[in-house]
Amino acid sequence: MKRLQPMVKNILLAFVLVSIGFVLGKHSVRQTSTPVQPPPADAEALASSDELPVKLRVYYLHATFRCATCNTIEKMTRDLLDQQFGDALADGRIQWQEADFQENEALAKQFDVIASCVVVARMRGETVVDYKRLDEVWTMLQDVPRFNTYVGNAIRVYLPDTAEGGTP
Amino acid sequence: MTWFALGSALWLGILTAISPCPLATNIAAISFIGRQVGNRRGVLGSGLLYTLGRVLAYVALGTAVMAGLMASGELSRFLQKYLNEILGPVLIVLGMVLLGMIGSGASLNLAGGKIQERAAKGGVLFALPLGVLFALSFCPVSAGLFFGALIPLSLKHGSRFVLPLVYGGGTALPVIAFAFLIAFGSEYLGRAFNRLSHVEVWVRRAAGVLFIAAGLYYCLTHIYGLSFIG
Repeated sequence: MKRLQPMVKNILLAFVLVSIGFVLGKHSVRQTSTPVQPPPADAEALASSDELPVKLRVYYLHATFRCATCNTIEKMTRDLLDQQFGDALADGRIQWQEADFQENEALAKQFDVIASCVVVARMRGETVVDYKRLDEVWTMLQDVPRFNTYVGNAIRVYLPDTAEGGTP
Repeated sequence: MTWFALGSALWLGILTAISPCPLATNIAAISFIGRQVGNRRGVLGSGLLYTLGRVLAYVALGTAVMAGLMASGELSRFLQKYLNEILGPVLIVLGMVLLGMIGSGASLNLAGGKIQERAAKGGVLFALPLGVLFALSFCPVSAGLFFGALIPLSLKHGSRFVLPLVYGGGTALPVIAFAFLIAFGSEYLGRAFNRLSHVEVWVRRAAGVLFIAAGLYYCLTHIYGLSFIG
């Protein structure tokens, strides 16, 4: 046991140093290779996309580290969409998008994301017209009906009437 | 401010502590506080300082956000991104210090002696920075509950200080309860079998091993991006 200790110590120290190096390398590569794209200038982009139909996009934004509770939020939102908004999903009025907000910093800034969350956004093309971030989902995980009412009501407010994108 | 708001802040804190995502740091904290078998004052002191560390961190963050000094979104994303990456290596090094692998030759003025000796023989003061560090290492659940639920609640009730303080206390409560159970339970067992010094040594070693295990977990998940969830 005594003879093993120096070896374990050296392995752990090497692991710590490699990990620190890996973190530094990861962030320096990310900074040089992927400059953050600013969100499109809303007024300009909106004017050019005026002809496009309005859609509702439901985002599930998560951190790179996926925790069990975060996966539950994603599953509960998907289940709600499938059960209550199946038609709108099928005809394209609702689009589902899952994204890593730590990778996609432009999206994180656009929605001012604080943690993994659900965002409902009214879209014209790729331009966000209006959105609501549903932070309160975190306190409703034990109460599925309350969760469904909260998320469902937010979706209904933003949902276009027709597949062509008539405004609600 | 109402009792309902105070109760909500406390419940949000407890909810944060009992959710699975801060489990690794909670186990490390429990082992750190509960490792001083046979030293009741040390256990109580560590528990109080750990709680104080968490409370200080949340009150400082809450005050900064509510006073408009920092944007809640940017601060939350920064802490989630960088603190968890720092935490892994820090926990491994702390675990090595607790096991006496390193630090026996170095001295730390704050603790007033050799790091390893101070840490192993009690190191009650270390519980305070540990509480601050663990509180700032936001995982998705704690970030969601603190920035998404507690801050809006505090803003609604105009409470920059009291509600974050109660929340911080709530996040430490389950940890302290388990740590006390382990410390006093082990002491009872040790005395019952007349093996208190043996139990003490093994509980201390377990704390070091758990710190290293938690550090490895944080490194693998937050630095190397491995997932242990299906």
